[in-house]
Amino acid sequence: MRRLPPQDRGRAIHVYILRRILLLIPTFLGVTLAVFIVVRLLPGDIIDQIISDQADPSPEFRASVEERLKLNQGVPQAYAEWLFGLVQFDFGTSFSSGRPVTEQLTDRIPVTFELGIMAMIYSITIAIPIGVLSAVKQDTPIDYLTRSFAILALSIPSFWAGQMVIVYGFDWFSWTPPLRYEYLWDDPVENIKITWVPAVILGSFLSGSVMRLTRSTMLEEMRQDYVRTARAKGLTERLVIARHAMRNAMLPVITVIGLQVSVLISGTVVLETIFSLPGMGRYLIGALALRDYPTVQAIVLLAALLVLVTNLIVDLSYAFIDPRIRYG
Amino acid sequence: MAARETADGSLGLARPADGVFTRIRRGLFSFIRRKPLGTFAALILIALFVVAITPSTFATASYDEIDLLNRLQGPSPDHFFGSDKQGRDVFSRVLFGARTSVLIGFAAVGIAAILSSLVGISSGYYGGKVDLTFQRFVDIVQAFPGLIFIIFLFSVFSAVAPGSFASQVVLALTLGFLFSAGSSRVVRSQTISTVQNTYVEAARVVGATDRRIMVRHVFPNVFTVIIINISVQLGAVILIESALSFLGFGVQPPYPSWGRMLNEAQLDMLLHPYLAFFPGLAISLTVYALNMFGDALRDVLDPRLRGTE
Repeated sequence: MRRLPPQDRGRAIHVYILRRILLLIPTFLGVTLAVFIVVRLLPGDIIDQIISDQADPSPEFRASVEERLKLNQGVPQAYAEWLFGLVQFDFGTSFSSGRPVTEQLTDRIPVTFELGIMAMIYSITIAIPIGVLSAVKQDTPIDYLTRSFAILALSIPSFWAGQMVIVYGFDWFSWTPPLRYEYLWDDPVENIKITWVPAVILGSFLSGSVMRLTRSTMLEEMRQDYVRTARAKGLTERLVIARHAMRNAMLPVITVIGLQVSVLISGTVVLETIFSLPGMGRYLIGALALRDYPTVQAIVLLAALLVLVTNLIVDLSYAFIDPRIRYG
Repeated sequence: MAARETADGSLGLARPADGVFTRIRRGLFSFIRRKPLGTFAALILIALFVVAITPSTFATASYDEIDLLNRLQGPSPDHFFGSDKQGRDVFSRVLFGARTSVLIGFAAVGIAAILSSLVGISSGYYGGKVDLTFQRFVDIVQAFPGLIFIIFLFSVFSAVAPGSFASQVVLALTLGFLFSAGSSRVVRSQTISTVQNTYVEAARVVGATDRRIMVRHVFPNVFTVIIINISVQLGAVILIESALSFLGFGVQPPYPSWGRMLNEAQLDMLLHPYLAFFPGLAISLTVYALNMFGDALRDVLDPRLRGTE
């Protein structure tokens, strides 16, 4: 591999970062276009829902609603207006409630984030130590047990796990799903009591792949020459693993944790539905059914943006952490 | 072992001179010997496929036979897994559900394999502008969280083709499209490293066309990666299909699907937990076996990972 002198390397990193950020722009525009068009391709629209409540749905009424919601605009014009609003952090007005989408999301975003972050923290805290342990104890019963557990975690659908907890939760650990949701800022204790169960379910699912990857990268690193050198120097096994092998083994693991953001978002949709949490995922399913275009667009766009940005951060942090990466 | 290796000098490896069947047999035996868990998973999968092909042989009733006098009965010799709200036999519905999962799983993975080979190989082989354009499309597809993306596509397409069977076709198509994005990346990087080989250069020098090089030289080299993708994705596809059907966006009635059964169990499961227990168990067992088998297969096929497991 070609080695660059330090000053060239610095420049190369800058060029690489700039390139990555610039590539994000066409991708992001593509995403906005895809969201906008697909939402409009969905069969039916909100007026069908409104009209179904109306005793005498006249064409004039339909036209007046269309006028009010600006649904009679051409798609290019509507898209341009929406994009223009986005630049000013204005996601438009919800069709179903008539209130600004931003206002509707402020209560719901924290609910989803809380669930997601708790799940991810749980996943990482159990997956990495177990993965390392599994690698260190390779081919022992501990290894077989943890590997089977990891595959099992990947195989159980989280919505089924949720259903089983709701059905058997009281018998198993006297837990019942609470009747009403308390926000974190209103009643933190009640809130955690509600959120920890779905967070553990989602986290367990995520932990499976992190555990497997940690194990295989650890095994790979532990065969490297530098590990043998470290051992030969007389370092304790603990230091060899913690300070030498683990550091390098964590690189691909970080990537996978970053890529899991997408899986995490899909997971919150399902778990919010089962546990009736008032988050974005459940709101999205409702807004989709109502064909509330601005709300659907805003949520999907935010989710996509989150995925894009985390992927970018992962790639960039890689460039800083691992000097072996070439910036081509 | 050692004596046999020195006796015929084969080192236990298949010799090209052997017939195809001998090589397959030898590969099979070595797989069974080296991967007992993978073999066990394969046996579960074979049982699953047999059930999926002819569910009626094993089922005690039809999947849509309504018996209102015997509704919501617990598991008994008459109904092994109990009966649902309309008195349909849950055991039979789980068996027929296997067919739905397996069909959609294989169709989706097959579509993903074809699409990802086309995109991945041409993107990696031509490079430059072709690559840049393809990769931006892949970026866009991957930016959407999987479930949301499929709910979108599924809602759009199911309006074009409503109905129970059509919903399965649409599901397979959308899942295949989604999963092709991820695997096209893997195929692409494998293509890039293959193209750097001298034999590709040699083929070009003797005047082989691009198409010929891609089909005769690149494809055989990325084939292993494609097979690994298929085995890894099959479990994920079945899992996400069940999640969709659970949310009401997947397979439409009357065909039974495990996810759909869990959705229908939502209302009655507190008093009749067996309604939710058995379909979920079927999903978990299937995905577990697929993952175990995929793992074992990958160990055997992927030379880079050899020795790490």
